[in-house]
Amino acid sequence: MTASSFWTDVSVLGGALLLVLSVSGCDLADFEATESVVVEAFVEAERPLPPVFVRAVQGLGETTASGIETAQVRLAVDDPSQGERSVAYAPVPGAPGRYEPVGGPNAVGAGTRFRVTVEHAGGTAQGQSRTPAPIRLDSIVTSVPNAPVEAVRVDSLRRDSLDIPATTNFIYPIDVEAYWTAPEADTAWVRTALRPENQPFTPRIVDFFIQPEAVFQESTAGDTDVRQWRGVYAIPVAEATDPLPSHRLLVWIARGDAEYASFMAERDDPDRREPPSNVTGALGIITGVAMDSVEVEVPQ
Amino acid sequence: MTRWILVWCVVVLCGAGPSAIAQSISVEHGQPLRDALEMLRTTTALDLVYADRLVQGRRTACSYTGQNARAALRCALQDTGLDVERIRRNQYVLVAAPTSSNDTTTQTVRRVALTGRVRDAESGEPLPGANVIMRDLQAGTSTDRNGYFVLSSLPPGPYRVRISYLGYATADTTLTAGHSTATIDLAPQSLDVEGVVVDDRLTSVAAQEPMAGRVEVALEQVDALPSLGESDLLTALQWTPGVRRSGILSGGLSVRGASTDQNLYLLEDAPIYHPWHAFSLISTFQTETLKRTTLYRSSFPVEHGGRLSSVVDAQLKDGNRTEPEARAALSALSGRFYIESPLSSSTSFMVSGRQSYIDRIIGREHAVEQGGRRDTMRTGYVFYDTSAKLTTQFNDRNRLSVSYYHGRDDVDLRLPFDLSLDFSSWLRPTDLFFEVRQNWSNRMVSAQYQSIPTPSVVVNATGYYSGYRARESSFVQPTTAASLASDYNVSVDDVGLKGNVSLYPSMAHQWKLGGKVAHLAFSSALDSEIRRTTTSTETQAQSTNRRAVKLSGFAQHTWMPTPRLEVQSGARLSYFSSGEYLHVRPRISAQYIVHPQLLTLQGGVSGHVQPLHQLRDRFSLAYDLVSTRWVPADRTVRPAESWQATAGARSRPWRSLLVQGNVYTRMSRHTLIPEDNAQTKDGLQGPGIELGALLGQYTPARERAFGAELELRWERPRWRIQQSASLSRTFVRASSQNGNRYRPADLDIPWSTRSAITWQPGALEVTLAGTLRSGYPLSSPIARYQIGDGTDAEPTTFLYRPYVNNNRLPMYGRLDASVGYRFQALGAAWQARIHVHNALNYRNVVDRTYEATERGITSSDQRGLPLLPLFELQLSL
Repeated sequence: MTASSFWTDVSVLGGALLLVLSVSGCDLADFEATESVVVEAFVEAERPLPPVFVRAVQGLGETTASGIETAQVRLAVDDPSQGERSVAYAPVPGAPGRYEPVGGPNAVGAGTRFRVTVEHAGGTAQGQSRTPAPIRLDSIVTSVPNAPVEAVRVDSLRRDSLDIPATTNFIYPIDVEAYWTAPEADTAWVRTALRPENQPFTPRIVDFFIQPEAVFQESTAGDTDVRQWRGVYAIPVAEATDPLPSHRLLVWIARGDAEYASFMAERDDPDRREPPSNVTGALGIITGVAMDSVEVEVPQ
Repeated sequence: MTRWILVWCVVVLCGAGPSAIAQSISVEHGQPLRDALEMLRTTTALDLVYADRLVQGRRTACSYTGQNARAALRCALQDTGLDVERIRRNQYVLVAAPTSSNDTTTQTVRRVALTGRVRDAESGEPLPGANVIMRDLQAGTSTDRNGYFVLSSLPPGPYRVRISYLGYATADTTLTAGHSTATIDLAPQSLDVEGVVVDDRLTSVAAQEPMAGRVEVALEQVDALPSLGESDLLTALQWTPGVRRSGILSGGLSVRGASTDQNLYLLEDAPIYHPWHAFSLISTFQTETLKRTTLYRSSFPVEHGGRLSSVVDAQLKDGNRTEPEARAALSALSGRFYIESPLSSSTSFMVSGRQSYIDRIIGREHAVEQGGRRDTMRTGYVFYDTSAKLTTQFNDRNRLSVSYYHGRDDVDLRLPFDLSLDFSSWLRPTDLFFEVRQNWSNRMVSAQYQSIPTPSVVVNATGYYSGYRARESSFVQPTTAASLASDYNVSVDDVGLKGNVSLYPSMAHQWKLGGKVAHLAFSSALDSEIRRTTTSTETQAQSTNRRAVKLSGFAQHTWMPTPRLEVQSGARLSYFSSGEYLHVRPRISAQYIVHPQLLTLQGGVSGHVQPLHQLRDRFSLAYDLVSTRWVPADRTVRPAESWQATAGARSRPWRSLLVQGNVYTRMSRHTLIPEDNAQTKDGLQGPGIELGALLGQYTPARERAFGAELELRWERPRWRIQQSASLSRTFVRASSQNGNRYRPADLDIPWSTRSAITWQPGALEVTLAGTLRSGYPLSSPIARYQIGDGTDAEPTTFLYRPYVNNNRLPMYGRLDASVGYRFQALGAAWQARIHVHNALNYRNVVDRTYEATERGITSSDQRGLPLLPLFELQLSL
C-alpha cells in the first residue's frame, strides 16, 4: 500500500465522518405547525344550548387575553324527526371568546347527534358528538369521623435536595357516597367530583390517599340499576381538639362518552400534559354531556 | 442517509485493496534459488514460506518468461529436490520433494495441526484471546476462552510462532506441527517498562474475529479510571465510544442509542438479568474476579442471540494454579476479598466476596424513645456478591469448570416522613411513617466442559441456571386513618443447555456449529391494600405466570482465503415457544488487512431477534420501583427485530498511537416504547400488574439509528491518553406519537466526547477523565392555552406539548479525577486511591420541568451530583 492510497482511504473515511457530522448536528424530525385555536363546547341534553368558547393558542410569553371575538360559530343538530337544524352563535360582548346561540331550538334531546363548526382566520374547526342520557344524583351520604386525624405535611418533594422537612397537622377525612340510576344502555363514562367550599389545601402526600375526583366506566359502579361511587375529601383543622368546620359540599357528576372521559382524566397535571383533543382543525373538546350536582351542608 | 453510509462502506471495503497490475515474470536458468523465490515473492501475489537451509546452495534448472506466477514457481523448483505445499490461496510452504516419484501415495504430504495452550506464567491461568501468529506464513489465530489454539492443515515441521497478549511480554518460539499440544507461558510485564508493546494484537495480522465494534476490555486499566468509589466493569465500559449510562449515575447501559433492555449480559455463558447494585450505581461484575470481558456492539458472533444491541461476555478467573494469592480492599461503598489457589497440579479455585458496610456505620435498627413512647426505626441497606469457580484440567483434552455467583441488594427502612437535614428528627417515635423493604438478587450456577477429541475438533458444552428475584414491600401511613400496604414480587428463572463444535479442517476454513435450549419462567404477584379512611378500604390481588422455551441453532463458517482477508458468514435459527416465533437471521462479517500497521478494515451485516421486553409500570408508586420486569413475546406482542450494518477501520500510524473508527446503522421494529411519555409514577394505584395492563402502557415502535465513532489511544510507558468521540442519532416512530413521524429517541445523543489522561510515574497514578456531550431529549411546551371542563369554574391554563422530544437539555460536561498510590507496608502490597466525582463541581442540568404562570412560563432544573470524593484501599498478600 502506498502512502498516497493510504491517505486516499483516510480522506474517504474523513469525508464519511463529516457527512455523519453534518447530519447528526441537527434534529431530522422537523415538527409541523400546530393548531392555533381552542374550541370548547359541552352540549347537554334537555338543557338550554350551551355557550361555545373559542380561544387562541398563546405563545409562551404572551399575556394578552386569549378570547377570539371574530369567529363564525354554528351548531348543527341532527334531529331524526326534523332533519338537520343549524343554530348560529354570536359573540357575547364583554366576554371575549364566549359565543351564545342566536335563536334556534332551546334544547336538544338525549341521544341527539350534533356538530359544532368554527371558522376563523381562514381555517375551519369542527367536532361532533352525541348527547348522553340525562343523569341525576339520587342521594348523598356523608360520614364524618368523630375527631380529626393527624396527617403529615411534606413541603418539598424535590428530588435534587436532601432536605425534605415535614410537619404535621390535622384533617377530617370525610367519606361521601353518591348514588344515581343508570340508563338502559350502560356504555357511558362518568366523572365525579367533591368540591367543598373554599377548596381546602391538602398536602401532596395526603392527596394520594383522599379521592375527591374520579373518572370511570359507569358499568363498573354497580351490578344493579343503582350506581354508587365513594369518594373522600379532607378538611384541615389547626388542633386535634378542633371540631369540623361547618361547610357546604358540592357533589358533582357528569356522564359522557369515552372521548369526554379521556379529556377529563388527563386534566390533572396542566403543567405537564394537555388533555386530548377531539376537534378537527383545532384543539379542544366538543362533546355531549349530562351533568348534575347536589350541594349539601356538612354540619359540625 | 443510512443508505449512503452503506454505499460508502461497500465502496471502501471493495476499493481499499491494492490494485494488481499484471507484469512479466522471468526465471533464469542457473539462478540462485533464493533469488528466484524472492523475485517471485516481491513481483507476484504469491506468499512463499521456506527455511533458509532448504534453499541454500540450490540453483534453478529451468527458465521461464511470462505472466503466470504458478508456472514460474514450478519452473524455479524444477529438479531442485524441493516442492511446495499450498496452505491457502496464493500461500505456499516449501518442503523437500518426495524421494520416490513413482509412489503416488508418498507424493501427498501428510497435513497436521499445530496446537497449543497459552497461559499466564505466574498463575497458570489460561489466556483467552491471545494472538498466535505464524511469522513466516503471516497467518494466525487467537486462543479460545480456555487458552487453546489450533492452526490446521500444515505440513509437519517446525514453525516460528509469535504469541502476544495485552500486558504480557511477547513470546517468540518455534513450535512443531504434528506434535502434542504445546504449552506457552507468557510472563506478565508491567506496562511502565520501556519498550513494551502494550497491545500487540493491533500491530499484527492476527486473525482475531473480524468484528467491527468488538472491544476487549482492558481490565487491568479499569482501576485507573475514575469511578464512584471502586472500579466497576460496566462503568468503565462507558469509555467505549457509543456506550453510556441511561441515567447520569444510575440506569442501565445504552449502546449506540438503544434502550437498556437490548443488552445481553453473560457471566460464564449464563445470562444475568439485572446486573446492578445500589439502584444501578455500580454493577454486579467485580473486575478483579474476571479474566476476560468482551463487549460486542451491534454486530456479535452467531453463538450469541436474544438481544438487539450488544453483548457483554464476561468470564471468571479459574484461580491461580501455581501459588495461593489473597487480596482485600475497602472502598467508600464496600469491603471485598479475593482468594485463589491451586488444589492440585490440575485443579484450582477462586472465591471472592464483596459487601457494603454503610449499614454497619449507621446501624440497621434504632430503638427510639420519646415521651414514654418506644419505637424501632430502621435504616438498613446492604448489597453483597459472592463468586466462586472450580476448574480442573483432566488432561490436555478435557477441562471442566463449575462457577457460582450470587448477588443481592437489601433495603429495609422505617422512617418518619421528616427527612430534613436535622437527622435527630429521623429517629423518634411517630405515628406517621413509611416502611420500605426492597430486595433484588441474581443467582447463577454454570458448568462448562471442553473436550478436544482430535486436535482440529473442539467441543464446548455449558449448562446453567440463572435466576432473578425482586421483592418490594411497603407500608405508608401519612395520616392516622390512611395507609398503603403493598407486597410485590417478580422473578425470572432461566435454565439452559448449550454447546458448540469448532472444526478446523484447514488454515483457510473453520466451522462452528452449535445450539441451545432454554426454559424460561416469569412470574409476578401483587397484593395491596389502600385504606383511605377508617371505613374505606380497597384491595388488589393479582398474579401472572408465563413460561417459554427458547431453542436456537447456529452455523458459522470462517474463511481466510489469504492472510489479509477473513470472512465470517453464518446464520442463527431461533424458536420461541410463547407465540411460536421462528426466525432465521444471517450474520456476515469480514476483515481486510490493507496494511498490517496502517490500515485494517472491518465490516458486517447481521440480523437479530429479541423475544423478551423489559417493561415497568408507569403509574403506581407502590410497585415496579427498582425491580426488572421481563415480559416474553406472545401472540399479541411480537419479538423485537433489527438489522444492523457496521464498518470500521483501524490504524496504528505510530507504535504508540492507535486510531479506530466505526460507522454503523441499525433498523429495528417491534420495540416497545411508552405510549404516553408524559406519564410518570404519580399515584398509588396503577392499572395493575397483569400483562395486558402493563402492555397497554407501551406501544410498538420502529427505530433507526446511525452514527460514527472515533477513538484514539496514545500509550507510552508513563502516559496513557484515550480520546473518543461519537456522532450518532437514534430515532423512533410510533403511530400514536408525533403524527407517526420519526422523532429523537429518549436516549438519543447527537454528539459526545470523552477523554482520559493517565500519568503513572512509578508508584503514583493520576487520571483525569472528562466527558462532554449533548443533553438528552426533552419534551418542552411550545405554547399554552385555556380550556374549561364544562362547569362554571374558571378555565385551566395548560402548557401545550404536541411533540415528544422536541427539545434538549443543556450540554452535559463533567471532569472526574482519580489518584492512586502503591506502596509496601507490613509485608503486604497496598494501593490507596481517591476518586473525585465532578471535580469542578459543575452542577449539570439533568432534568427540567415547566410551570405555567400568569405571565407565561417558568422552568426549574434538577441538577446532578456535586463534587464527591470517595476513597479506596486495597491490600494484596
